Amino acid sequence: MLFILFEKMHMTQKDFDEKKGQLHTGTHGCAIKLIGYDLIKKNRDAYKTFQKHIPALKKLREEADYSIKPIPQDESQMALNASDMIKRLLEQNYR
Amino acid sequence: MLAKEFILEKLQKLSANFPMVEMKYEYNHPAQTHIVELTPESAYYENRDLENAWIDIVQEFMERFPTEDLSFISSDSILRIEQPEYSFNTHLATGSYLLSQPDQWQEYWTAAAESFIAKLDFHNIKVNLPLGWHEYFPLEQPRVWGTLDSFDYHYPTYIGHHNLANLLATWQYWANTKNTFLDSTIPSNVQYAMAA
Repeated sequence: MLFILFEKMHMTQKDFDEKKGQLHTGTHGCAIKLIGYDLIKKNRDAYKTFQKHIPALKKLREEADYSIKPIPQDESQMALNASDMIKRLLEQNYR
Repeated sequence: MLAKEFILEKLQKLSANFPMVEMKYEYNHPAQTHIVELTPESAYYENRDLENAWIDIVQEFMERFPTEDLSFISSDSILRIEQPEYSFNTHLATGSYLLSQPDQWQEYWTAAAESFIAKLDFHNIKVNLPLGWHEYFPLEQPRVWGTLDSFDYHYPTYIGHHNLANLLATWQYWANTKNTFLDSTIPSNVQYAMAA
């Protein structure tokens, strides 16, 4: 996502850091938000898929990093599929 | 206005415009996201008017609450809502709303039956209010009629569904699983096939 922001959308590191401050978020959260803002204007179908999978991945990542709760195999498989889907979607929309 | 108030206000209007869609809201803390679940899944994936309406809401939300996140999902997501903080159009789950409003139910159920049964190769859907039917004394159930032509295109079979509760249960099952109605896990009294 940072590659898209810096290389495809020509955002500078300084702009990005300022946005992080404005949005009160970290690098991951800020990149997701900025891509989301752009995608919703650019391709609504793509945005629909993007906004559906991102919070599911955020939830799993939060649980994986900060809890001892095991992640079921079907959910981890879903996460891999969702990641691939988002990667393809971004490749298609930011050539 | 808080983000949650904004969402609930918008859902109030959205649910009125799409009475066939159940809407649930909760804040998901691990994902740090306001979640709205739309069911049935067919509405989420296939209803373009609904899609445009909720994406407009998200766009406005982004502008007004840039530090928060809002996501619309359906029941196939791992974020599906089991215990909503707020729900709209929950009458779809029970049917009690329809039965309490006899003046409105006929048109409402015709639309419901069309959207559901069309996927099962039934056509020419009609809902008839039986003579003598009364909301407090539903001795004779409303009837849903349609033409089944998936088995033999030359000789379509007319089927009648006499039981509103069975139709609703079958519909709900279908909406939840996207399986076909003849799945063996459906109790026999909910099986859809009814003799003409």
